[in-house]
Amino acid sequence: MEGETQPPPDSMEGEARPPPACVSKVLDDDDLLTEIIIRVGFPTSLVRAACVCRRWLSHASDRAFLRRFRELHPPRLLGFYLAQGYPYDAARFFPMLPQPPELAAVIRRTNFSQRPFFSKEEGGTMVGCSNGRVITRRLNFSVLNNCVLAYELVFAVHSPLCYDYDHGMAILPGLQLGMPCLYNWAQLFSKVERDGSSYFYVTVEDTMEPKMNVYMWQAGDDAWHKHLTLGSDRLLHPQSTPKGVLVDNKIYFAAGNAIVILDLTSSILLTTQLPHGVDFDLGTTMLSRVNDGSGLYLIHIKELQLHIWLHNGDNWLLVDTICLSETFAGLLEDELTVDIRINHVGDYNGFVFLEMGRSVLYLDVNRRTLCKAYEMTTEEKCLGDIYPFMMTWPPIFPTLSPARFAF
Amino acid sequence: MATREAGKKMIMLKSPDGMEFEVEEAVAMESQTIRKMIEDDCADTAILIPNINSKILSRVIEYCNKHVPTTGATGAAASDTVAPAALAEDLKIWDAEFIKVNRATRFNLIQAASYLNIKGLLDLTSQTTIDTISDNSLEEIRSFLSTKNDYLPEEEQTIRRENQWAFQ
Repeated sequence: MEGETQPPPDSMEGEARPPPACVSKVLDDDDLLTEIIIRVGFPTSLVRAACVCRRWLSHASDRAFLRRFRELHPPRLLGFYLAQGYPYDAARFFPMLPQPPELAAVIRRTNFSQRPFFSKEEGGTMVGCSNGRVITRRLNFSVLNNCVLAYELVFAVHSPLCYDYDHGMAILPGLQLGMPCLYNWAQLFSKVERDGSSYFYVTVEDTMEPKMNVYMWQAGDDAWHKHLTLGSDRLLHPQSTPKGVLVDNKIYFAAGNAIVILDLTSSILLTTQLPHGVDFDLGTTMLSRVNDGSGLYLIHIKELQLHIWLHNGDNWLLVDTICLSETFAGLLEDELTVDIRINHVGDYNGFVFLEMGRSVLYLDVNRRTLCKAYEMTTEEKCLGDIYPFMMTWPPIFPTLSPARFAF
Repeated sequence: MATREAGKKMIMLKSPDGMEFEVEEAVAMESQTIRKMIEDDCADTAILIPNINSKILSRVIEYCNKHVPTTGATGAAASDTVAPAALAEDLKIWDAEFIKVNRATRFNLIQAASYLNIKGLLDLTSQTTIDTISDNSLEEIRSFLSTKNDYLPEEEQTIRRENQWAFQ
């Protein structure tokens, strides 16, 4: 075909109003407009597109559109928080580089360790991180005559990406617990839904007759309330690693050599056995939510073999296996004797953070790549917990009053 | 790129302004719309492509010609995804040159790609349009699209407040 003379690429300047028919024919066609908007690639650009006008917002905020957008452009890993003890006062953020320029401003927001409630000086300890939110906890003691009478747990939910407009932190009411502290296992679980969040603080007293207490706080409540108390032999020997997870109104956590499932809807406790060959040796196992909240993964590493299991109702389905020594022979060559552990708190999004000696490794399971993400300095005594931080999704779009369309 | 050999089935495409383009069937079938017409035997002699003038149609054919999968010795068509990296890179460079057109042509190409159902071309033209949009301020985008800002000030402020990470 003959090439025609090509005019220079268009620029913003000098474009006359109104739009030529060819432009409006495309932009007035809802299907074509959707095809164009869906290609923006980053949630940042999507929000900006939604700001163009009401019609663009109505497309950008459509649920089916958002689902398709997420499939085409899955949320990116921005970096990770390293919640370490000495010599650091607060969890530190490390970006995963390189990142596209569209996300540069987002990355700058992630480092918020100077914020109130966050640093150790203020008693803040990082206890969770999920979908753009970071949860810290601090402890207040009531003391009388040198005797601790009670203590209070105060959780703060930070949204590091939204710290302007005083929008970045919510402090939950204090949860009062009496002394002496009887439980020896406790964890906070959160459930974030469109119409509000709920938090569950679960404690297990591991005595001859083990007992579980679940405290609950929902957005809008003045205080925590005791949701339920259960006694069962299933609760014997709860494990602090791997950390438990809340999926679809069920809490899964490790106890003994099995996984206990607490169904919050029916208040029933169940036990599920581990897949063959899996145990809870320190650093070998991780429980994780499927990123859309539809199920539970169990990720296990032993002797450089990584297995990923999906909990499928009653059964475990082996969905992936990586032999690290074969796949990454070059990188691990000299380090084969070194123990590799999982160090990753949060959802599973196709990657796992590993700890090898004094290094943090980032294993991209889908792409089969492994790279060093952090190296401990000589001052650091132990690594601490790694909380991956993903780009928040979906954007929060307001529902505009339809009456105003007549405006 | 496909070599034109004797015996390859040709097909005639007609634009509404009366121009006729003879193209290989394989090239024309890059368009899912035309593929369907051919498969349904609705394309005996010539296919009239409504709404797409000869200038745009010729560019579309140029695109399809470049993107038609090369046919290997075995006769199995290799799709873009399995093409060697070098070929993919070559196509990318070619695409970048191809899309250096003015706004009117690009929007006409979007419409043509949509009507003819040519995914690659729709990807390329839409992506280029949204890239132009992403790189500029909201006011520039609105002016570029000749779109009126119909938000109440507090409504726009709400979107900005809830998603402040999307702004500098």
